[in-house]
Amino acid sequence: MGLVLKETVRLNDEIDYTEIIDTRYHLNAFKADFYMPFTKENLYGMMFLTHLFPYGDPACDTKRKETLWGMANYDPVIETALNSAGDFLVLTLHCEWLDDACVPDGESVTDEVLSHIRVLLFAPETDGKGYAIPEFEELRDILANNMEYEEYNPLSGINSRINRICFRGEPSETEYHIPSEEAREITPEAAYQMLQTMLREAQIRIYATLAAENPVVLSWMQTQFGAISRRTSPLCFVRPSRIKEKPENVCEQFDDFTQSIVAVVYKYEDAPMRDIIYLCDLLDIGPESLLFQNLREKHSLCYSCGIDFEPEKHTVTVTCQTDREHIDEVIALIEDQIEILRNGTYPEELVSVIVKSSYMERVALWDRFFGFGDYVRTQVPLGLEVRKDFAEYVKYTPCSRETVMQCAKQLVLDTVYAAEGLAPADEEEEPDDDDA
Amino acid sequence: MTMHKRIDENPFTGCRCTEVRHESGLIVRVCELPDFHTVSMKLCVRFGGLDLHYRTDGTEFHVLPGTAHFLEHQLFENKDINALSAFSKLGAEANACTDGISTVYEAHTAENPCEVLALLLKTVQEPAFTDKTVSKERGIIMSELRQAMDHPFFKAKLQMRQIRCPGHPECEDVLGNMKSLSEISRDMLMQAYSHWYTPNNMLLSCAGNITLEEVLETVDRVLERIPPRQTEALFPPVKLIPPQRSAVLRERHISAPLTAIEYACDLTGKPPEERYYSWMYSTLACDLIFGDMTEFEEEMLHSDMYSSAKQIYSSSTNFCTTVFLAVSVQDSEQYMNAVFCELENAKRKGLDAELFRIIMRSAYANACSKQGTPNNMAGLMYASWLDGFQPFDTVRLYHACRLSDIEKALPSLFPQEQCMRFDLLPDSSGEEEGEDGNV
Repeated sequence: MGLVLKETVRLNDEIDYTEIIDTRYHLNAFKADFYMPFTKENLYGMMFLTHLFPYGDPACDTKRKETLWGMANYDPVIETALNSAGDFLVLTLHCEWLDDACVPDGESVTDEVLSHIRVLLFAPETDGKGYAIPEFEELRDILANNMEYEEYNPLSGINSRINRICFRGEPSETEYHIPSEEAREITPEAAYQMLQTMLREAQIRIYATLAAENPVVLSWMQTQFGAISRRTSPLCFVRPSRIKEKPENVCEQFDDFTQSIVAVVYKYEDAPMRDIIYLCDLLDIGPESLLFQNLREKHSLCYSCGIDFEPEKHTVTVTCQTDREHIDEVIALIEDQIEILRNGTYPEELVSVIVKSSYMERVALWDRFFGFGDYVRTQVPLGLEVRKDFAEYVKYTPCSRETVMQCAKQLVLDTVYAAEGLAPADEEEEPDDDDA
Repeated sequence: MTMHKRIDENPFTGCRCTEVRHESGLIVRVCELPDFHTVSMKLCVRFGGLDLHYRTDGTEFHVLPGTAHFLEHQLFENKDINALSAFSKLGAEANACTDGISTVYEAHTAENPCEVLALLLKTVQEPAFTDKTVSKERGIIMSELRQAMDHPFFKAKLQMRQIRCPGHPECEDVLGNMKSLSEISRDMLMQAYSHWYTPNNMLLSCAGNITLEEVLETVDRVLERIPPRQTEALFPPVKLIPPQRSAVLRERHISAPLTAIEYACDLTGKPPEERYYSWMYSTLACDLIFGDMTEFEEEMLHSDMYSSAKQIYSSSTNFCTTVFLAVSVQDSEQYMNAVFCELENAKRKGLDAELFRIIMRSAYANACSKQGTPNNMAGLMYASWLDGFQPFDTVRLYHACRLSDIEKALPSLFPQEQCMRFDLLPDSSGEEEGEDGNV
């Protein structure tokens, strides 16, 4: 049968469920995205929740019991991840399990997994006020240690530094990090409260991919999510970032890394999504793209360079890791590529390559387990059309040169950031040995 | 022409792979997956970063660290056009990667699979690099190495190897080092190419929406008939007996001390099956004795001496290592003793049969669910060849494994005299070198 997208079902106020049937795999999965405003309080609560969530079931409330439960049930994936999407935070609950048709002896892993998730989401172990997870302190220590690790690794903080400069005064300037000291102060009450707030207020979008028709899953979703008492209103996820009056240049120096990092940030007021995506493809889709050709192939300035497109913030960021002495040359070359787009002087050959590369990207996504589900997940929050039929889904029409020029002219240089790595490249140090 | 076909089938899902030895000596493995739209193809050469000394047709040769990886970059330089661009013009994505024992060139496409396959074969068999392209690529690879150096543990990993087996190729990163990269020449690359890149030292795996006939027809059409060469890597004897029980290493970008406890056993010259068994038994034993579902792990989590994470890994190249990595251990000697005790306990009393049964359920799910995609299947087909197996042999070996086999292997996998502790301390500037020499 291949792959079939079914109609979206509204389960509750701002809770939608979309199901896909994909008979090519022996797996079932769903991803539930909980969208909340990007605030420091939500970040702390949601980040901690990602660590605590899997242990909320009293039947498997320790790392050991939870692992045993998973292995005994044919190793389902039950994980939570937190990401930022413009001015919002998205906590994604990802569940994936072996289809019952493959399970020996007529056991139902589907029933086991859904009943476990019901407890984790709607009836976790509490003492009436907060989570009553026996290993709460150990889990909090793990989070705090991870945060401490990030604090000592300057590379992991670079994106936060760039966001602080680019999005000053906007929610997404919030540092995507909890100071380790503060992480050690989070309470079981705060974490449980976050879960309740999310269930009540978050925009919730659920996408499932099933190996075969199974009405049990939809019925479970309707029963569980339909029963929540909600207090929410629709959100618009696209909130363009304010464009600075003149570009800001920031250069920081770091003693403890070798390779320098350059980020050149452009913003735009308004441009059709299709055009801006196409423009990003011209810059960074494969080896023929302008950035790869001009920064890496022609000038050997870097091993990697690329685009970070944030449609929610109307921001296009070009990043490149290069040697310290090449920073200025890289910045100039990046600006040259944008100028090429503004003048429309990119090679015609690039257009046909982009059409092919884009087709390949889409088909590869279609072939990957949950790939089409992920496509739908990215389209829906941005209000973009979801193509259901394979032939429609893979269709790609390039924008005209005129359209690209118009679109590129909308890009305004906002920030130029350089993190200069001062550490020497080839440290040779003898280890300190010790005979015990 | 008659070619002997060998079919291997996943015992749980019925997924089938066919192997054919082409008259050129190239092994071809194909997995037809008509429900998919894409095709994944991987051409694997048995030449990797560890192969610094080798013998070809009776003569010994030497190359500098980073040669295999440099060669991988260079083969994308075709006569008229960069090969990456040529793939992209056909609508395909191409890439390559080098590890210790192999170099893999791969392409994924949803259109023109036979043309893409032909290009993949031509890319690998038509080296067209020049002094100029070598010089250009040198800068890019140095940039790649600097990027890698900025990752935590880059330095510590190599230092651990240097202490364990000085002079062994394992002490070098696959990328090489700044000195070797500056010295690798076009001649050295060509020498390595002519010795290692012969069809009898390669495997082609294709999976997805393509048939065996299409693959073979393309191979017949494109592959040049190069005489086979007998090339084998030469490794210095592994001196695994640790010169000391512990060592202190400095590492940038870590906030708290880390303790790594490593067991090792020499596998040089062992047949593939024995190497695989070592890897499998050590992985399963680690899960059974130290995994997240064990009482030991729970005790450690609750104790003061252990506060965060542990990684266990095994490798099956030339020696098998098992490493326990513990974060923020207050007393690393005490932690090492706890590991010793638990292992001795397991050797004496045996392993937990119920836990083993549960782990086998997880392995079954893995065999059923994780192998169906074109990319996974193409990967499985070449990786199993490198290990000396048919694609689904490992599934069968895993499921035929008995608890008593693991118990019997414990003394050889975890010899106490081969245990060494590494204390990784934050490399904070301003501290005197060697100050922390005593553990």
